[in-house]
Amino acid sequence: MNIKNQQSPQDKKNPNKPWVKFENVCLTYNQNQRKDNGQRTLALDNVNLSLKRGGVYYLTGPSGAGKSSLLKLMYLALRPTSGKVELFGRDIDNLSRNELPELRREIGVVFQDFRLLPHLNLFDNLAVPFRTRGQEPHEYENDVIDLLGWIGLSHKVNQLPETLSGGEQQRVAIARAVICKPRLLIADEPTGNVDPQMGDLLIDLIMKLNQYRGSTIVIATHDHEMVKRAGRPVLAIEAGKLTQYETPPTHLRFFGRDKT
Amino acid sequence: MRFYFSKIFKNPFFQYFSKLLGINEVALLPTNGKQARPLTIVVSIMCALGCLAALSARIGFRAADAWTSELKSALTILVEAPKDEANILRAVQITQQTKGVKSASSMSREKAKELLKNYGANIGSLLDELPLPNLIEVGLDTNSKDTAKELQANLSAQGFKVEVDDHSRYSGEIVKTSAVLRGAALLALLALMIASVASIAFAARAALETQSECVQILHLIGAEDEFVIHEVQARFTRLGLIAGAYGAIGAAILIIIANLIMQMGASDLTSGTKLLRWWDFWILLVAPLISAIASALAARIAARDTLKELV
Ligand SMILES: Nc1ncnc2c1ncn2[C@@H]1O[C@H](COP(=O)(O)OP(=O)(O)OP(=O)(O)O)[C@@H](O)[C@H]1O
Ligand SMILES: [Mg+2]
Repeated sequence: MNIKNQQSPQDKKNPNKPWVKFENVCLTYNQNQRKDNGQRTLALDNVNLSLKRGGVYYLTGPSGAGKSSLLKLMYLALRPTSGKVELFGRDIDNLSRNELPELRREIGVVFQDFRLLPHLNLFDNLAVPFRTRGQEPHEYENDVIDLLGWIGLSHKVNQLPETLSGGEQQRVAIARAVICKPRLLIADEPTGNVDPQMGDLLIDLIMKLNQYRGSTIVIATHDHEMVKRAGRPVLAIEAGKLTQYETPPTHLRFFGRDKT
Repeated sequence: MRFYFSKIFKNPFFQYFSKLLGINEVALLPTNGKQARPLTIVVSIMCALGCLAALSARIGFRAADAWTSELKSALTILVEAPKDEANILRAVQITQQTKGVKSASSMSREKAKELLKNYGANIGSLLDELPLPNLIEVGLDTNSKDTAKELQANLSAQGFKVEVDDHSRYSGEIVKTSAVLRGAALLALLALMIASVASIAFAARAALETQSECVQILHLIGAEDEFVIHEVQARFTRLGLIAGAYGAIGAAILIIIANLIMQMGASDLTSGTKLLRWWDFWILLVAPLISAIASALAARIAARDTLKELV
């Protein structure tokens, strides 16, 4: 499936068709596997959102508000308990299991806990997205080496993730998410473990994907200052309820690290 | 030399197999030696037992064949009347001229005396007083049919009263017994195969459980189910092949030892028929392949089930 080609007739008709759309989405976690006496958590409460193609969005809210849960729905790790999720104009409920992998390949994910493959060195970790696409080493070798240089880890190409610092692992996680140039990049706290300078570099890397590829970007963060500085649309979430702003709201009182 | 190797590696056939076994790339799922070792041992032992069961079945088949063909290639004629020496010789001649008969002989007084000579002259002279044996031993061509009936007819036509015994009573028993033996060996083989497939499936599932994090990551990065299944399957195919080879080698060593013991003391039960031929060892070559295929199947099923649980 080539999403660009498949969507092009629709896109011409409606170029502003949302790239990601949630309609009345609720998500409940069952604490216990047993349905009868399990404690249930309503992580997302009737969420509506609409993200434009090529847009950059900051998702923000206090710890436990439901940021990661929202992103998990977006990168297809979970299905909503109720409501409708549309990606690239396609209702995911109408997709068969065989179509999902191709959709996932259009989505790059930076996990909050990195989720690098612990037994693979940096090179092999960055090669994973290519290999799941069935590509041969000669097709991706240069891309991997280049990107490793970009994140300043060329000299650690043969090391395992466990030998890296948290910030270094984070850089690799971001590199793995962007390396196949996905149309939607979802980053859960991508700068949580690095100093501001490295944080800017990483955001820069993510923004390059937006500039050159027109990818839609969603960045979850606690960082009040970063959201303000970016001046981009904001998805603010608190206790599972989401509000979408086109520009950063002046009162972000519920930010995790709000200093004001 | 280098050129030669690069040619081999580029050979599509080689590439197919290296892909099937996952030996040309870094494994995307971690290989856990601690988990693989006990399983390798179990599969090796199962495979060795399987080889022994298969070879025993082969021995059983061949022994039964040897016994039945031996019985079928001979029959006995009891001449009831007239049973004087001249007539018996005439009956032997008639028998020899019948189609399908390879040899026929009666036990003459002289031959009997010759046979008993070693036991002392007295026993030989005793024979003169005994009635003449009236049995004719007949050797048959291996693919003769209905010779018994023909002999009966020919001899009756010449005025003999005879009873032809084609051993069908014994050979029937032997065929029945050997069928039971063959069945038992095949059943044992089947049971061993099921047990090894089940234990590999169990291990594959356990391995996937400890690697569920990695499986999940691959899944979220967009790996197709078939891709992840292949990763798991390749590992277990390799394990099955290696463990199968160990098992086959073990079985071969056991058989060689058993054979040496047989040569030193015990001899074959039948008349010099070797019950195992060297070419029976194809069983040992096929065993690792069967083990690999069974492992691949078991791993595939386990992986598919695990993936079904992911969104
Ligand atoms: N797998 C789960 N099972 C049960 N409850 C969960 C699960 N994951 C999250 N929750 C609950 O859902 C709520 C939202 O969690 P989520 O991880 O989305 O928050 P978050 O906004 O990402 O927080 P943080 O900023 O700390 O990462 C929390 O109350 C959490 O306890
Ligand atoms: Mg989170």
